[in-house]
Amino acid sequence: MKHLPYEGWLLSEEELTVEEERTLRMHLDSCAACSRLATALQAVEQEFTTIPLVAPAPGFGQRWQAALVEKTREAQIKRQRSLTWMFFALSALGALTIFVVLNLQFFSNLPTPVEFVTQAVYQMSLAISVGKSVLNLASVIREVLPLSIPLVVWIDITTAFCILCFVWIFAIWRLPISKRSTTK
Amino acid sequence: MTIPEIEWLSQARKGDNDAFTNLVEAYQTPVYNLCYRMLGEAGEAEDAAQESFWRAHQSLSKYDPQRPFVTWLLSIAAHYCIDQLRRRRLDTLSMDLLPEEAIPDSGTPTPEASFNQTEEQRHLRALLGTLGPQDRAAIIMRYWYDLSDEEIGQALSLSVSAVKSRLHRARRELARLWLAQQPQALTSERRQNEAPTL
Repeated sequence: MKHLPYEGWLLSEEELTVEEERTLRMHLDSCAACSRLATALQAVEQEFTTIPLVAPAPGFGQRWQAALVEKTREAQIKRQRSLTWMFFALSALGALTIFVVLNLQFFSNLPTPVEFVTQAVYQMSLAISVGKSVLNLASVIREVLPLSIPLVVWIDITTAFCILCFVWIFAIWRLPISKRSTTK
Repeated sequence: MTIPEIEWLSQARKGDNDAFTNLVEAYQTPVYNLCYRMLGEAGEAEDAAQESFWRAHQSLSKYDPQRPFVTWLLSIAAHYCIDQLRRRRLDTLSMDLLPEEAIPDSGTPTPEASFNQTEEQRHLRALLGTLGPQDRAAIIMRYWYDLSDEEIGQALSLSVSAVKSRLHRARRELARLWLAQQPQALTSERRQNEAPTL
């Protein structure tokens, strides 16, 4: 037996015309499959519409307030972290820009790519040799200075340098929070 | 929306957290019910409802006052639950494998009524559990919140024709499952009524 369009009529929520309703009723009387479908749909819809809304456990509002405080704090920490990272990224970008700008003058008057590459290799080898020289100088100072400066002073200098670094990092990390709380 | 709710909403949009808490108190049941029907578990529904309110709080500035506030909240909750269900499906965890949870109490004190309600809720959960996340959301919004096709479409970011087709498909699936469960129910009922074969 053909179930179309009767199945569609049963499953859709469109209003049927009087003629369509009559035809559907006649079909339901003769078709067991469609009749079962109609009964099942009716039962399911009845079940859905009679069951009330489920309420949360008491104290949902209080739990929300506690969650709001916690999530606001988490969001603030997240924002603060991203600001710190952004600051570091901008600092690195600035340093890179300065480096590029300072070195650009060496490459600006080069007409061909070969000369450009040659100049780049030369600049790199120059940078490496300068680095090596600085290391050599540092090792010489390290060998000479301890003779005149006692070990305790060296420890003091190193500790002071470390503390300064920590203060610097901490200041960068805490600065966005204090600024925000003052604006609030 | 009542007059105090309009006032709370206006204050909440200006950043008043107490006013938003009043809105949470007012709309906790519809939002929680949607999450519970979608996820089928009380603990997850609580978390989902809290998260939905948090998301609403964060995007309150984007709320269009022309739209009903409850529909906007339900839309946020439905999207969150759909994401959760998809994630759960990725974790290959079916609803049938979930431990049987205590059904939240909705004000029925007698043990018999409570038992019947629990059975009904279980049956309902089984029925809804067969539907895909979006079909489930569409069915819940239609039967529990009486939303129109347009409102459901707006809430689930679907076209009206897509909503109609989803509801059509979901009804067929629900009817099919209901019919499949009936013989089992009849058989078990018959077995209970049978005389012991001693």
